[in-house]
Amino acid sequence: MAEQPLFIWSKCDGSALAELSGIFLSLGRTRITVIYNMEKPDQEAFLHTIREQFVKEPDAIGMETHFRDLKEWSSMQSLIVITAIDEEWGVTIKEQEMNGAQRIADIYQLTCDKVN
Amino acid sequence: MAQFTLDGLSIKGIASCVPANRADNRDIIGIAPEKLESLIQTTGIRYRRIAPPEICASDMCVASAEKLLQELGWNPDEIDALIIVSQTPDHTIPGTATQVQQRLGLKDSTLALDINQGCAGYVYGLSVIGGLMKSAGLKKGLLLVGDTITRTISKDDFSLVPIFSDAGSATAIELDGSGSDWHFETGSSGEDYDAIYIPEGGARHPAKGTANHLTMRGHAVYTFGLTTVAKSIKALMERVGANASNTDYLVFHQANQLLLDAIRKKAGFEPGQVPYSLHDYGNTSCATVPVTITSCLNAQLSEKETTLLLSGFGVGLSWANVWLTTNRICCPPMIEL
Repeated sequence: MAEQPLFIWSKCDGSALAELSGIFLSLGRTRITVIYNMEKPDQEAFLHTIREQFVKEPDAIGMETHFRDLKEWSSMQSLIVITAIDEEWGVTIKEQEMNGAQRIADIYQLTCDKVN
Repeated sequence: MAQFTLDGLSIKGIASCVPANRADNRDIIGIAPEKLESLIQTTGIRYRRIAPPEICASDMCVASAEKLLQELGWNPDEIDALIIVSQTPDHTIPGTATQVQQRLGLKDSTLALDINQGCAGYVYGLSVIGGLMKSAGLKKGLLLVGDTITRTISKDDFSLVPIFSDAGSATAIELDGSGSDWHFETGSSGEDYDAIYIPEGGARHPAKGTANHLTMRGHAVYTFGLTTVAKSIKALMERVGANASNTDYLVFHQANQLLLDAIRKKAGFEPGQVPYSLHDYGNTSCATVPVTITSCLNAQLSEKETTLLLSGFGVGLSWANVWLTTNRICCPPMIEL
């Protein structure tokens, strides 16, 4: 008889997920489908991560800040921010998506959309 | 993605050559000093090597090949295959390989071929010359990889000037039945062909003098690296059982330090396993992998068996990764021309 599918709905991180999958595999399961549910980024945590990427007056940066007006903003700074988001939430904001963003809140929304 | 394995081939030596002319990014006029420092820190690039007009990529490749032939004691008559990978050939027509065949004194029966490839070119070159040698039973081959990419850049383009640099290299390969398997993973994404390109100068848009410099959509290339390249490295590692424990070094195309650090973390490698030549030599286009091996790993590769994961990616857009092991190869110090 064909093996019944097993779905795991997970909010845990990668290593915990690997451990969980290992338990099911050791019980004889050969196939596991994981529906991975990342948490929506906390707004404060997101802002903190963004601020960490800036050297000059990071505390002056808020969700409504028009980041392109910041003296420190540059194409390279844009990549630094994208890398931080990628490392923290595992999503990559692409060129055209970033082109449409003006405020930090726009980048936050892009990140939320991708995480979801 | 193409996935394949070649066996029976050994890398016998790798040599690289750069122009003696060195430029310091701190001397760039046109970028505010504080932005320059930030740029140097983020890209990891302090110095670049710029070829003067009389030096072509082929000259640096030939100097590297001559050094290798001499050190290995190989007679030019023994070389059955010569492939040169470059985007800056000596002439538009003919290809450069036949002239290099003559300059190195190789026999007329040598298979000599040009490949137009960029940042993934070293690994692609290994796959092509390895495949040809294996399928045709060619015993000894030379892979030459180099560019004078700075010639394609506008001196007023401050997004590219601080990054790019010139270099050439040579890799000696032998079909001797004794080498490790070479496991490849390659791919292409032509949808973004214009992410790094020169709009004019080809047959489709002949040169009018208005758009004949290299352009790059940095963000597009960067996210390509973060997503596609990282995935392809992980796919190769998974397929062949490679990991940070059984691989000594992950040698990247030297794009910029920010991106490479991010991909390194995704691949699970420690910082000490990823050598950088960016600081001293910048982004030398297709030659970055051999330049990094020569400048950072030449003692290690000369003295010890070393397992390497080589990863090239960029113009095309294209990418190519290979997992292989070298065994005490000839790896002379950097040549300056």
